[in-house]
Amino acid sequence: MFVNSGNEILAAPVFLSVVGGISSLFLAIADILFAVRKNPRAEIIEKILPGLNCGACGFASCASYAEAMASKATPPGLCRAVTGQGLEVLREIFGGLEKEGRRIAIIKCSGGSIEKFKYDGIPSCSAAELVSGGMKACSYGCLGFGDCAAVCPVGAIGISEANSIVWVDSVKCTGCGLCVAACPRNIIELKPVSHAYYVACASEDKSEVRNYCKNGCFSCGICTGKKFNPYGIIEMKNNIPVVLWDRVKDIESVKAAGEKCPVKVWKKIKTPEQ
Amino acid sequence: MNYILIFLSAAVINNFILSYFLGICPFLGVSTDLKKASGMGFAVIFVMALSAVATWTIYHKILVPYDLQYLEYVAFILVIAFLVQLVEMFLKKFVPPLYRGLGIYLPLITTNCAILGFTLFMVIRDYDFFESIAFALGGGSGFLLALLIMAGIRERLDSADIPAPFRGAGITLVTAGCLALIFMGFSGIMK
Repeated sequence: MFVNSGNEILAAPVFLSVVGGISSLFLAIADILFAVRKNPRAEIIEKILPGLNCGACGFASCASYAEAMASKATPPGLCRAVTGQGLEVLREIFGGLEKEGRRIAIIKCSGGSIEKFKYDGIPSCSAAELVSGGMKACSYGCLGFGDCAAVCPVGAIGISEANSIVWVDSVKCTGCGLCVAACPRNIIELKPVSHAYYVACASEDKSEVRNYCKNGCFSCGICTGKKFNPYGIIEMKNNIPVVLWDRVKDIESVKAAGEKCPVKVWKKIKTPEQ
Repeated sequence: MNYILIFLSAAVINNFILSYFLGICPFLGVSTDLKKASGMGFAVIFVMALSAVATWTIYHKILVPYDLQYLEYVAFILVIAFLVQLVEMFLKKFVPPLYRGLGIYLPLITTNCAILGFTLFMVIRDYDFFESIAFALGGGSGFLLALLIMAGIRERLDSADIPAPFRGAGITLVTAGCLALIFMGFSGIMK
């Protein structure tokens, strides 16, 4: 139609302006119609966050972390770039719910397992795990090749020369959780630093542990027993003592029970906060 | 029967990534792990189906009657971008879980060349409305398939002992080439 009337130069701009105009009109209407009211608290929080979208808090962006914080699902303090006054404001907004503090990774293994065989393959935990379940006699513990150290973005994980397992630098650790996913043994866990005591062993074996590891928890039940655990704050789950932190009134009682451990498998998270 | 043929042809034999080499950027960029790959793949299926409906209508009801076929590139991109924006707003309001699931991939693929390529093929091959939808679903599924295969291989590559010079982009491109060769084996089974 346009071509025949000799207006082909006009046809393109006219057509595109019409289509573009209609589209933008629709979008403008939709923007009002489908507007999602943001949590006003989230907007305030987002302004305090650095906006770097580094992902160290475990969320895709600062905005999604702000939303999670505004809905009180996640405590402040996961973001390490917010310090001083900003952090105080965040805590105030969050309203004292933040008792747990930032989270860091812990390794649920103390090393000390004997070796079943000499492994001379690719130096990676996931590769070693494929060869009849790893070269360590303990099928739960750390293999010590440091797959977790390789993915750590801040270099907070090192490999101990002494007992060839990994350790976490609790100052550097941002609690991003990348190592948790990287570990083929699933022995890395994110823990709030205020939950300062944990059992550094993941073995679900009972007394058999003694056959292959000098440091492992063999479920003796001293820490969970009535004598050192009168309030029932420590429970045996899958032959590993677990602290029920929501029942803990005084952290000293956890410490006292842990100190009675015959193999010293109860460990303390050491952080500058404490 | 015709629809099934079109679907299979677009999904396997004339796979957008591995036969036409369209959409290589997300193929290499988002295939690092299976979760991301499937998110991207489903978003592509969704957007392709959507743009099939929109662009077929625009082309046959507006561009052809007014003799404006030469504007198809611009018009298609404009319309697809508009629609994806609209759907994104809609999902955000009414289906938040799906919105979060598709995440950033939805706006990301708006101007993806696989999407544009698909609409242009649709025009060249003169598909009718339902054939276009079958073609879209097939093309999207093929995209998902290629991404999943690639992501699976790359997850294995992470724990493989690759010679140092090949690590990273090198081995990824070699793998992509091998995959394309394998898919070439399907060619000629049907059109």
